[in-house]
Amino acid sequence: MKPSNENHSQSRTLATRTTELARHYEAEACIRTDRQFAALMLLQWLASIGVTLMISPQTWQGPENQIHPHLIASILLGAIINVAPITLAVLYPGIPLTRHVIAVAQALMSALLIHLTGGRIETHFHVFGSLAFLSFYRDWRVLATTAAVVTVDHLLRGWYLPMSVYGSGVPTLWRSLEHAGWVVFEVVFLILSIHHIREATLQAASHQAEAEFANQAKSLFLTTMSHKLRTPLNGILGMNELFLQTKLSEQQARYVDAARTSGRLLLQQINNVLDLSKIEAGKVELDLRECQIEALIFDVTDAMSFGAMQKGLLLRTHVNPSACVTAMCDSHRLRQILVNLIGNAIKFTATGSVTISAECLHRDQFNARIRFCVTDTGIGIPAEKHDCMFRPFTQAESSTTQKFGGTGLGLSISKELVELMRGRIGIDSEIGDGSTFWFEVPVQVNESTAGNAANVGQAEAQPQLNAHVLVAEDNRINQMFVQELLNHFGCTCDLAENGDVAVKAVQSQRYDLVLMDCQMPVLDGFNAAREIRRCEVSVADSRRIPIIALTANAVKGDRERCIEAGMDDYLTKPLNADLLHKTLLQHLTLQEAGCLEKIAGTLS
Amino acid sequence: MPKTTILTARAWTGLGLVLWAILSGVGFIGLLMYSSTPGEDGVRQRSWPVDTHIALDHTRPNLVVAMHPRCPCSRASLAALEEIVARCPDAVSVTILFYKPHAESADWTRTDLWKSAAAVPGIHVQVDEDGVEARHFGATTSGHAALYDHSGKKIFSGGITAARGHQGDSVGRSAIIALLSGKRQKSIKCDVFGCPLFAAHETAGESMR
Repeated sequence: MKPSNENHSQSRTLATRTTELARHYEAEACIRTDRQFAALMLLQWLASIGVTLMISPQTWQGPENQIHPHLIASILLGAIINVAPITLAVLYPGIPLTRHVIAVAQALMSALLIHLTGGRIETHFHVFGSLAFLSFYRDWRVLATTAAVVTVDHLLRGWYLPMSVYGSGVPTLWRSLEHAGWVVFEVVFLILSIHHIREATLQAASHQAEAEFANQAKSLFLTTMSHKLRTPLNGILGMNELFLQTKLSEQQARYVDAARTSGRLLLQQINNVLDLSKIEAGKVELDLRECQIEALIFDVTDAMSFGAMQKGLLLRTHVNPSACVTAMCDSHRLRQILVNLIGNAIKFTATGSVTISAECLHRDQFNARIRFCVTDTGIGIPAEKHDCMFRPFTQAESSTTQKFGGTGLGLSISKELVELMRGRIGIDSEIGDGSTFWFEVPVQVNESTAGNAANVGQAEAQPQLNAHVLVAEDNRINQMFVQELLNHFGCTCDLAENGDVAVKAVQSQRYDLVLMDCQMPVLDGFNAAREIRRCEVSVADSRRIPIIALTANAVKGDRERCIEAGMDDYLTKPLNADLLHKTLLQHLTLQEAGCLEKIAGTLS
Repeated sequence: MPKTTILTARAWTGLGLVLWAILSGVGFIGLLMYSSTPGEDGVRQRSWPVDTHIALDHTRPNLVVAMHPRCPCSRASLAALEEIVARCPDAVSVTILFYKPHAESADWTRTDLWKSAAAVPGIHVQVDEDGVEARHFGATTSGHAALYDHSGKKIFSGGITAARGHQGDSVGRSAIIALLSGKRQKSIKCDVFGCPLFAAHETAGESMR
């Protein structure tokens, strides 16, 4: 029964989304047609004045002349007819009233043009052309409105002024109906056409809805795969780190180091694929924080210098003083772009140097535009390949992947990120002359905070933490890894293999902090955190224990879910030892400060 | 506040649309009234005028039409004439008298209306200095048509369009076609729609004479 219910629910959601998209398409069509009609009506008005100037500019009485009343009518009456529909199309495009007023006005415009051209049979085609154009609204009621105006006009004039329409002084109902009948004749076919167009729109909406759902399924698949791959990889990398800290022979150390390198590469590939899918799904948001551009560049250069040194390349930096600003930007993403570009430059340069430079292209009181360049003395890229360099899974030569490795995603991720920052990215390169990959991004600058971020990347000695920590983690290898790290930090820890055990452990023992895996059997980390918080509220004088989430999911919304569940912070797997230490230190310090405050409050 | 603002906006829109409908209606009514207002009837005569210089064709009916060469409404009269000539080829002798003030050169009459008329086979065009001939035939409004039988008896007089500058069916045109086809017609009044052939002072002068 459950799968059947799920299928039913999914098909209902699909149908809802299809309807929503179809309505959106139709609303867009109405807005677009309103605007086109506004332009057309203005043109018609000018055309009617032009035609009148040609046909009947003056009326004569013997040798004397004066302005023809038709000219006055084309200017004034034309303006009156057009003012309402154009105003509505500008102020309220897309609403039913606008298109019905346009329909009435268009019928009146037909009447005016027919009148001004002396009832020429050719001008009557304006009515039929207008009906065809009005069918762009895909709303049969609009056509009905026009047909009604034409019918009423012919009936009234046919009765009161038959001479003006039929050239006969005798009212003829039949001829009025005949004229209106031809209009209805066209309207019927247009309504059938609208029906077909609406069906096609519905079909297109259905296809788009299916594509969206398929994309969501892809995202879910990537998230799940990310989790499934990261969890064992966390264990492999963690164990390798621990293994390297033991006494190993030179050969063993080489093997373990190779395993670590391969593991990191695999992690990078997984991160790249996940990053690209997140960017494509619009799930990446920039995290704007203060960042000193100069320090960021030196930090990245430091991190990349080992790779350059191994290849015997000179890694140089040149930061123009104009770029030495403290900016509000996503330093993590800027770093990611620079790492991609510098990594590529090192990879494809056999001898010579790689130069990282930055300069400020434009600066005012609050904003600046910074240009970053990574110039190498490598093999260069032919001009015809420049455009495809930023496409996913594309490299200059098909053999490049085999020769140099990589997924071919780095540049396309960089491009997406730069565009997310509203910047632009490009290449200047020629075969044999090396390459310069550059990107420009706008940033907000803050003079008052200059120098605050000067210590980016500086290593600090890790103080011992001396805390008792509960580790809720179902994977045995990860349990071992975290336990080893905590011991290394000077902490003691207990292990809980699922959320339920963790909740009971917190109720029975005192812990300084909980590391909570999010996905565990029996009771997951989110519910376990909620349960712990619920217990804290129900117990008087209970202190709030910091809970830090550990998750292999690295997608948007995870942090929010963790915080919403009552957790205090969020770390992604594979765990970074330094980051874990820093996070533990931060929360343990905060907790200590909170306890002291509480004691002070009680004493006072 | 927002609700009041929306209501006010709706009220203004409604008021504006009512005003728009009224003004459009008034405009069209004014336009129709102008188009349906005929020119002066002219002087009624029963037979071919004696003092005209135009010769009567005794072999067939004669249709004489007075036109102002610059009257935009007369294009419709010419279209009606073309229809008559096409429907009754060689059955009628058609002459169009184009008014020309004596102070103007001959080019003054050579308008597109003249050229169009001259290009129609079966229609003879002629300059009418100061509208002297038009007066002989009792025409005071451009587009006035007078049909005489081969003996010179007037069998039709009036307009051949339904309204000012309005092309298409008209009672006058149908009546002439019927007469030329040999059908008997009741005497009917067909208003003439077009520009006055003479200025107010010229008409007054004529009356004085």
